[in-house]
Amino acid sequence: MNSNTTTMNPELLDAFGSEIEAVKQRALADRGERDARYIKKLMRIHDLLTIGARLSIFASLLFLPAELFGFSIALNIASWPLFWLLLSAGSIGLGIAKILDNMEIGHNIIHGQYDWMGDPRFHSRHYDWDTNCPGSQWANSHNYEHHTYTNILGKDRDIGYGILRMDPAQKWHPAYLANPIFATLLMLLFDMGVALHDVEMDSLRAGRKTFKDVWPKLKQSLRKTAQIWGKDFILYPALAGPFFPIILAANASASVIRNIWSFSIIFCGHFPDGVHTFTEASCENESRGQWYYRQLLGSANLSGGKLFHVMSGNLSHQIEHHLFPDVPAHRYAEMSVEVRQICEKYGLPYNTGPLYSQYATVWMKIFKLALPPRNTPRPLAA
Amino acid sequence: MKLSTNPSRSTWRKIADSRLINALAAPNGMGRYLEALNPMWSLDPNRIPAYITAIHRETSDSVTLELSPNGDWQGFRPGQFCQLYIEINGRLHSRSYSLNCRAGRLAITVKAQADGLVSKHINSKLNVGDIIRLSPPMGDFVLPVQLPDAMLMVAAGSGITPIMAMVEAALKKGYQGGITLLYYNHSEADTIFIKRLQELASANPHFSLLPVFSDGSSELSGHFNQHHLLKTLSFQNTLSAHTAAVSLPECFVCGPESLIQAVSEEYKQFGHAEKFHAERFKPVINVSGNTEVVGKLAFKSSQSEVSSDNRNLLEQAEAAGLQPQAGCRMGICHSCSCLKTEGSVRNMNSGEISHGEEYIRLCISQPLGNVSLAI
Repeated sequence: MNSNTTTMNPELLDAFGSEIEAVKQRALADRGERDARYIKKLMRIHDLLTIGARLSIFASLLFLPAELFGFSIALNIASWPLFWLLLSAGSIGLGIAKILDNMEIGHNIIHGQYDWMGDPRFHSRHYDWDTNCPGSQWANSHNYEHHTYTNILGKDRDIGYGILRMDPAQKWHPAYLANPIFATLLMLLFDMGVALHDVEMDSLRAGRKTFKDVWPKLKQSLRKTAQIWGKDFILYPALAGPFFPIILAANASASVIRNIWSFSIIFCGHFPDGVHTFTEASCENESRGQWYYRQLLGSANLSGGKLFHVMSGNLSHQIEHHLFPDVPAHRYAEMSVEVRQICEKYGLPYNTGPLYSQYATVWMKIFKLALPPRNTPRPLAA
Repeated sequence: MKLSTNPSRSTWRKIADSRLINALAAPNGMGRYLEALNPMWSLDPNRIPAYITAIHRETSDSVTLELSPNGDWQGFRPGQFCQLYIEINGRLHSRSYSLNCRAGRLAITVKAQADGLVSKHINSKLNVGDIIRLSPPMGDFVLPVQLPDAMLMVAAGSGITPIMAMVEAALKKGYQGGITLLYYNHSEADTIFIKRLQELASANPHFSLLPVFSDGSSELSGHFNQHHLLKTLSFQNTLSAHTAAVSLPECFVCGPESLIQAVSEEYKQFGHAEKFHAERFKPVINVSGNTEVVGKLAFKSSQSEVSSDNRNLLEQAEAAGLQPQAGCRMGICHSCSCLKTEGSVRNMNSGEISHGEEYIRLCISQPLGNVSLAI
């Protein structure tokens, strides 16, 4: 859905903007002990879960009843059920830990939500996350480009990530027939997708940039990828000696769990039905009110329980996140009550729904937009 | 995570902070996971955790914290200080405090300042068992390795803290020269360490205590002047055979700027400026104090620009709504170190001018014309 933010009465939009701004200022003024305690608790849960999950993966080897390359630990406690239980609990636990680190902890810290604490452990300039994209690089592509130019076609490279057709206004090309396949690959390798996102490999392909232009960022991304993959796919497996493949498989499963989950949450933030995109022209000289309005129209929420919100890094409150990207995200739930009231007051849409229905509309879009547009008048200047 | 090159680190710390172990905990390093298990197992050599093992009230508005830091603490030279990091309402604050020993333990004495958020918090809110963090010791206001023949110590109020460490260390070494301490306070009741000093003076013939109380209860009164200086010289302890009459003792001063200036003037007059050492906790800043616009100040990554004035860049960045990393706010801790991409700034401590692309400390940098920062 393409729209512009100038259709609404400017005075009304200003009034809307200042009410939203007031919600933000109240939250910023209230920051303190509570937020610090929250992020520390989350980080501690993540750290302990990571330690526990990795130990569980290694402990499973003690129960492995079979030989691997002629080696076996051959303890008389060997049992398949215990082996599988520890191994899968470890993989899932590590996957959850990575999700916590990437979303509720890393994403939000790198946004600068906790910079006010003045503690380098929680500061956007110092934090790096357990994924292939260097935190500093992402801070630019995401915090600046995506959050400033949200859903502006041609400016927000998060629309389709340079490989997918996620908006009818993107010109169709036969390569988009593979839209569902590309989407599935992006989902499974989302860590790599994010790491290469800011490198702008699509601009290289399209000839807008030369290899020399993209190399500095590509080098950073590859170095970070080597660090993370080296840890999960070489170092830890190597510690297990002949049982290398088991640890490798467990760690890879954890990464894939994290990839599928974060892809799903993130795609539900901007691509469900009812989310608007904008043209560059309509966003020129935007007022603060118009900017807030565009953020509201360009995002969609996911409804769910408290645990679901934490696991989604509170990106389930995508609307609040886009209105208030630098407010500690655990406050979005309480802020959303006020935001909804303000939206109702001004008769503005507030797009929200459960994960399964929002996600279903995302995949429908992925399939539908794989095909060329039907029954639409050809653009005059085509 | 910085790999420590500290040679005297314990073996387990060296192993835990080795490249291989840190690679297993990429990208944050093993220290973060060890800290999750026990905060004292931190591997951060710049923010060393320390347990508060005891709290002693010195006067009605000052306390001494006895501290037990983890193994990354490598001791200090008497007279040195460190940054103390403390969290208040979610925000991490840092302040410089002089280091002392008390009952064989590391100790820090803090006087509550009337408008001091951190010093008041330390005086009233901390408990035994709490953990605070310390930077490694710093500062070159220290007891000389080769002790001079005689020493004059001048302190006022909480300025006694580095002086106390120096006096105790010198006496412990069996110093045979004379030490005279000229110590300014309002009254005996609000004089930090008064008991310990009196005990030291009565037990040690090489140490003389000369307290000056502004309530008139002491022999000397008023601010430092030449009479006070001559009085200290009349203590025979100060007058070693070599230095009497012709020479002033090596002098160490810690206190407010006015005291430092007064003592410094006397030493200059007597032609002994080279024997004068002072410690100031506040940078000397000669700013006219006006808020005249000096140029434009651009913040690159936050895409904003403001007009700049004479204040330091940290204050101006904060006034513009940014939240740069900051610590001591006096040019010591380098927390606010930031890349300046364009323009010139003056170092408010040294007067040095930095041109073009260079890392600067925001808290002590004053813009000279248009400046662009990478924050």
